[in-house]
Amino acid sequence: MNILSVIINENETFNLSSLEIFSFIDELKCENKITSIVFGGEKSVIAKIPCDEIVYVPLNSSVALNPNDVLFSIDKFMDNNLFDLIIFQKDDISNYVSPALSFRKKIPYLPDVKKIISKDNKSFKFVRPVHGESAEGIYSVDSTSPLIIKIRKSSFEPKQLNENEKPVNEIILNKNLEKSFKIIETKKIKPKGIQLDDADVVISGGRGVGSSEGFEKIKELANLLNGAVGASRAAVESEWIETSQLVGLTGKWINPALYFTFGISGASQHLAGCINSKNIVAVNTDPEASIFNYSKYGIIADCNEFIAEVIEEIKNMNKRVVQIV
Amino acid sequence: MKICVCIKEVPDSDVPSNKLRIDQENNKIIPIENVSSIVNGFDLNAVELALRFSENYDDASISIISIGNDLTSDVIKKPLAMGADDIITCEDPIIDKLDIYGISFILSKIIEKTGPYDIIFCGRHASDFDNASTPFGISEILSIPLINIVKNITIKGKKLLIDRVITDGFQTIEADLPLIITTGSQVGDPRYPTLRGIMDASKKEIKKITLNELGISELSIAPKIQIEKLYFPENENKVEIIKGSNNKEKAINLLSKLKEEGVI
Repeated sequence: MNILSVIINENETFNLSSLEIFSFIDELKCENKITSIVFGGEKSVIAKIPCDEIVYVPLNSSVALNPNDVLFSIDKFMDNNLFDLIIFQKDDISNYVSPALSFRKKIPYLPDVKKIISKDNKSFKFVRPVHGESAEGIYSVDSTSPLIIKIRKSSFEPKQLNENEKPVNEIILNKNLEKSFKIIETKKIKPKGIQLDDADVVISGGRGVGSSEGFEKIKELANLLNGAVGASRAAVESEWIETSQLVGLTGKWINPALYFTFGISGASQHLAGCINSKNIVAVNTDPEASIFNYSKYGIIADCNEFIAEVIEEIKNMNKRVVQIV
Repeated sequence: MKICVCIKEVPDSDVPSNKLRIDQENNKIIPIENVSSIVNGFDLNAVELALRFSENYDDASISIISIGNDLTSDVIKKPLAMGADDIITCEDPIIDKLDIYGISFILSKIIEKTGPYDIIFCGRHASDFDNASTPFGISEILSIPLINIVKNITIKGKKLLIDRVITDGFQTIEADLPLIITTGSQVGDPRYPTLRGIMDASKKEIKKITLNELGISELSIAPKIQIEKLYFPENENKVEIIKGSNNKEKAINLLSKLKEEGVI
């Protein structure tokens, strides 16, 4: 199969989670020729992408990337190169470009693929979650004509980069002047401390936290555990915490070693973003809260009272360590 | 200013999965009896943003467009009770079986037939199948630019200034009409219908259009993507509830377990 993987690096550095695409391709278990089209990122890293051909589209980091330009560039690139399968992963630009490309090229599109069931001469069968994360569907698509898919984040392990560099072909970003819009300002909110995507420990608060003051405790615990702060939609909408910390279907998708939640009930929309965490610990007053169905440890308690005890105990533990040293 | 908002009737996304069942015949998730369906949450945000936008114009009208099979009129009339002017539907059993191409095609045809609209609002995705694709389909079919995940729209002369939410912040975009706008919870809570609104809405007729009137044949919208099976995944997780006579004891017990396992 002729495969095109699409990788978008909006922030200058190569997005290592995009390498999940190549583990997905391995799981297809068939003869492939893989071409990667990579927007932005460091060329030295891009040259090591585990694929057969690399096409690099340099980006001007001082100008906001317009998804319509990416769409137009891939559209033109595909006019001269035929692919059986085009694979995106989840990011702001891909979420815009992948469905639009599907309609523009009249190629079927399946988002959030989390598993491959089978591939034969007639059809592909994939699994994707529906209704938040509460149900799943087996989808079947004709495998004799092209297909666009977007893989679900964190469902596949990122593949290792190659040790050796491959030649990289450069093409320029094709600016789309029609059917577009003009980005006149971009404001990025960089949260202080460890970023959600990179954190091994995430402390997350929901409706039960009740206030921005409550989130100060969440931040304190995150600091003590060297972790990042997360939040549910209820907390973000109440403006107790910045939107950038939203975990869930419409926010960040994370898979830390420890996801420690306070006052989060576990609506399917939230679970979508955290269900791949290795250990979920949940604190909630309601023993029936659905977050417990996905947690390793549960604590039935008022989350604000409980977090105060956890913070105090960790401080005590740290003191004891200092004394022993 | 002619405005339309596309809405979808879905099972309530806040209902736990044990209150939902799968209609195997139609591969559809449906609420069990006594649990009602709702207008997709993000579509109500779209109605709210449309209402706010319309307040800038004396001659604004807002039409609601909804397609499906066996729609619940009390549910889909909610945007009328919030302040929209009229509602147009297309109902057909075949719509249950369609993929995003068929759905986008029918909506585009309705928009063409009842429009042209200056601005089209949609929810960013529907909570049942989470495809987040239909607005892009309408954009491509009708060749109208699309701005996704919009928080706010202001009018600046003949242009619109649009605040769009991105993962790590915000963007301001300058655009001309016509436009397709998708939005979600960043708009804030949709307004509550007033009693007067509810009474007015109940009197309004739903304008029904058939696939035939739109000139759409069953063959032209045959799905390319089939759902073979829907199911609730088995959850084998067993949570361990941390015991203790008070919160302090529970905290100590939890931390010692996490330490033992090397998680912290």
